[in-house]
Amino acid sequence: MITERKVWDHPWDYKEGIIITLTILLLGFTLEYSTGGAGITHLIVYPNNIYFGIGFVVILLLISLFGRSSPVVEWLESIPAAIFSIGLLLFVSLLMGLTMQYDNNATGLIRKLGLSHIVTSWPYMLSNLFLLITLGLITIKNLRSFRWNKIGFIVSHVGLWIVLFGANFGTPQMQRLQMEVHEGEIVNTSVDISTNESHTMPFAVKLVDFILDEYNPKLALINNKSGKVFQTNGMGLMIIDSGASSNINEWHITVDEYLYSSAKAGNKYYSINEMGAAPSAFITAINTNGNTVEGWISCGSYNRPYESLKLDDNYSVVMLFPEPKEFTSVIEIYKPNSDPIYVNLKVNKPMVVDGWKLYQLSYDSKLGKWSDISVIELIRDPWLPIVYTGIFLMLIGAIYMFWMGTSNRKTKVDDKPNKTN
Amino acid sequence: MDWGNFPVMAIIISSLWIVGIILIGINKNNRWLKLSGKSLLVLGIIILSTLLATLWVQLERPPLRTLGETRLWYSVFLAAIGLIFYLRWKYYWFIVYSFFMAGLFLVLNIYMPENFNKTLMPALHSPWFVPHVIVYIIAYALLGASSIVAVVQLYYNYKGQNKQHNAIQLSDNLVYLGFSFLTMGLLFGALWAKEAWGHYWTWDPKETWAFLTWAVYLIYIHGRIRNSIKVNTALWILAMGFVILLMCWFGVNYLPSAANSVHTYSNA
Repeated sequence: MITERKVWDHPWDYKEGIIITLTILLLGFTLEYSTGGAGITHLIVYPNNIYFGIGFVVILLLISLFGRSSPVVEWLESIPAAIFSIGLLLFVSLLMGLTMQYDNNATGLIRKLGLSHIVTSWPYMLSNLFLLITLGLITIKNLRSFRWNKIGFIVSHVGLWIVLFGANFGTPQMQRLQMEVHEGEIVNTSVDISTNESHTMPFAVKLVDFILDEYNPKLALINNKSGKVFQTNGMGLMIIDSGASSNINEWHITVDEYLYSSAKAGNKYYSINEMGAAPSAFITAINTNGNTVEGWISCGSYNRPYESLKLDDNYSVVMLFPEPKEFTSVIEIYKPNSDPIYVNLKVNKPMVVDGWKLYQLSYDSKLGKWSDISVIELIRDPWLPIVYTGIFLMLIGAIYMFWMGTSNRKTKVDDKPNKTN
Repeated sequence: MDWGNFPVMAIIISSLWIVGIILIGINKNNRWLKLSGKSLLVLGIIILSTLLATLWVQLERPPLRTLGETRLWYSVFLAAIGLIFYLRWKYYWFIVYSFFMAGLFLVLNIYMPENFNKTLMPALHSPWFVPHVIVYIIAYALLGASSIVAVVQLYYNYKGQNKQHNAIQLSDNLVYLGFSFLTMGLLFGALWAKEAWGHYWTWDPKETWAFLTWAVYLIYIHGRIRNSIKVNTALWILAMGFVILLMCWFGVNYLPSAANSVHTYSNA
């Protein structure tokens, strides 16, 4: 005779899953609220993160070894537990996706419940732990009964567990500093922007040169009254170059001459190479009625005025500031007892010195290509190799999944069989 | 060819596809009609690929920056996936859907080109740029297709016509392939972020929504193991999953929480 299973009778299933998940969520918000929205940042600081991390792994292993017969552990290894633990993290992340994060102006309930800083809040922490537990237990279980046909499962699950573990327990040890260097100057201190603390680096940096490579500037029509750029469907801007032409609104515009670096003398611009010399162009505009207007335009620079060309009562032609293509700091790095290293530091091309990764961050944008300041970001993340190991395993798992497709599902993986519906 | 000729090209490609689809559907027993229909579909795909290659050369950068440009890639991949899955699974409605969507994205671009701009900001000058975006767009095309399978099946179930028992298998196949690409896109993004911005994951709004998308399909995949959740529930998850995916792709730019996102490149 089949009798109906009551809630909390083993084996547990989806009903218990809902209750457990909601309890964890409620606990998270209660803890956050009771601390007034202080979050977990002050708890998980170095070296606590190491102790917590080791403790967590030990407990997980002990549960897996000695709790195998427990129906609760059996449930934690089940598919419903997997779905609910992913679902809980999904829900918490959804809150993060809908609310403004890192918002220091947040007050009231938003702040007290941790909604303005979810990544460092209790609900986020607990949902991560819940997922690390379910994912960890099922992975250990499958590792204990390893067979080669489970390799796809194991690689992807171990990979994800390592990434989550490394990201959660390792981030407190990450250091992010900034160093501002003037041309010709040697600097060995950097500042933590979040705390304003100054740090002395194990090396010094000299900025030899800062180079900003720009695209040619764009040309646009602007409305004389509103000052708005005329644009339809994303069209209406043209890149200025000698000989270029384009139709914008009712005007056919031709660039007769383009000077990359110039200055005005009398009514004309001449090529010149000095601080603040701005791009300029001589253009001819003909409208559909045959009216012709010609003249010089320039976007100016920090020390030179801009010049626009009035076409009619409604529109003028202007040159927009050139957009940066690439910026490079030519730097020399000095370390005790070794020769200086000469490097070109660019965006997307960081370099590593003594465990610190150096990034080209910014420059004096007011001076643009004449900037003699470069801001370098220095980042140290001792847990990075761990996280990268996880990412690498997940990538292998993804490629395996692509290769095997749904035939993957025929692989028998140990977990609790469920009732079929 | 430049962007100015695009409307003509888009109309030619869409017409080829429309005629091709009609030829395939007109008489399912006529081999020659079906073969010529498929040839027209392939021809359209080839022209669109050539157009993308030309754009790449002319813009002197991969045409992957603006939403308008990514729509072109979506269109070409969706068409190719539609054709391949039609050849494998023989669903006529599936090929109609995928080419309709592919054509729609082309036509959308006539009205919203958002293009003809050679500039690419320094953060996008990276060898990761092309693999990251292309892998994502393949994933989106596959997962978009899985959602339409789900919606069609939910409609049949609602109407009480449970004709296609293997529809869930078709969506499983699409999701498995799509999810593997989605995972690669996510991880490529993380590796790139470390090089460009200094950290592999900062919960930037685009990253948050990318994670949400990934998690929804992860739930679907787990739920489908030995039918752990009802087929209907699984189909609903797929339908919802696509809403989140679209939110990640287009919607994020409009969210107030994305005001400080580093992922909004197109309104520069």
